[in-house]
Amino acid sequence: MASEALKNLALSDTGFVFDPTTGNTYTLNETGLAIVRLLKIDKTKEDIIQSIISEYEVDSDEIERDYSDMIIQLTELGLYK
Amino acid sequence: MKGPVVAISGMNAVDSPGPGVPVLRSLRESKLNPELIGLAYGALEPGNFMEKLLENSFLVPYPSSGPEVLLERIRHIHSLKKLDVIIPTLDSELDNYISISGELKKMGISVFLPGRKELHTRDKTYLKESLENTGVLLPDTISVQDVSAIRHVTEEIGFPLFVKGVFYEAYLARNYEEAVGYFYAMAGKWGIPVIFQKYISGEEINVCALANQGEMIGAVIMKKLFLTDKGKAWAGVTINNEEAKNISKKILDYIKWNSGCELEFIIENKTGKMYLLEINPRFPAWVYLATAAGQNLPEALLKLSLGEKVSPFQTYDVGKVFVRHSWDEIIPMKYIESLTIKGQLRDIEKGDNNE
Repeated sequence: MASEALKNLALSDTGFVFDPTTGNTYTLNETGLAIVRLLKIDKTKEDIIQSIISEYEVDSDEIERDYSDMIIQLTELGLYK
Repeated sequence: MKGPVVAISGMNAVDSPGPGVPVLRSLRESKLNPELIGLAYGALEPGNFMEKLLENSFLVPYPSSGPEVLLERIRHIHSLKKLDVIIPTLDSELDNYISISGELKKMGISVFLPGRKELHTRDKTYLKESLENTGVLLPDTISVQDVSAIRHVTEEIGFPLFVKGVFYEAYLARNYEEAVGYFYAMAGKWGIPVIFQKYISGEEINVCALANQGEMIGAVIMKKLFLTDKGKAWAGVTINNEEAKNISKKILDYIKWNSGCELEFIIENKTGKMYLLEINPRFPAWVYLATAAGQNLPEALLKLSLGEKVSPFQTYDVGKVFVRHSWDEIIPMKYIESLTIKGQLRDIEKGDNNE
């Protein structure tokens, strides 16, 4: 689940991300940004994948992979538990 | 209407900068409209020539000259320019200013300083002992007086470890030979003891704070974004870390701190635990970031020096970034001459008073 730190992330439309708790900054691509935005508001994996499929016209296998990669990275950063 | 005349030390805005210039800059923005004077240890200290920030600058004797010599010099400066407040900003001069604070008061000059006991309590050589019952975590730290103790101390702490000067500087030693080398370097430069401290792998965050008799008046937290080879912040960003704020508040209350300070913490990567590395007994060189983020702590300190009541700051802007830079200032030779011969940037007796 999304940590408190993830919910506090400041997201810019450009994909630039600032973590106000640690001072760390990150850059996300369009899909990554969409995933994090939805995680911030506690959307489920299914909701997120469905939402991105409908918005970006990508196939479900590809977005499943992107979602899993993003969760691994966020977990490593301590932003997802 | 002219405000108070305030003298600030620490004009050494060099690669490892003193806090004097950012304190001047913060006070320049104060509604108290103070007249600002620099106190410098050398004619070439860059702050002397920052004409937008100060009206005049005076040379003062090195801290090793002792309190009497300092007092004599301040009496002379006071006879030329009546001072209302002095804000010392360097660790090494605090002892002298505490010694002469009573005399300064008689002269009508206010200072806002910790007592000698409080200064001692936050000393890095005693900090672990001082905070023993507070639950504040500190890395294993041992003061070393003599090179013969290094073998035993390094075996106890383990490598890598930090070798720290009693006032400034820290080096990471990876083996016994490096530890001995840094011991001699630090002892030669800053005297003994030299502090040996366990290395903790993690993210460092720093707190710039002001306290009045232990009550935290303000605190701004910064994460370094870019370091010099001396480990000094050359860029940083304000962050919000409630744990660091709460621990700082607890410590300042416990040691009844009275002045500006900087608390340095490290959050251990492995455990997420927050360790206090040290407490510097003065504002850090990045104090202007606190001002820019909404807490003008030097102004608050000035108000406290003048006996005004100051309410604690509640918030500050998170995500405010500073980037330091170097700048070659072109200086008239007459300034160097005046500082060298007369010990002051503008020769007041000659009527060169910048008014």
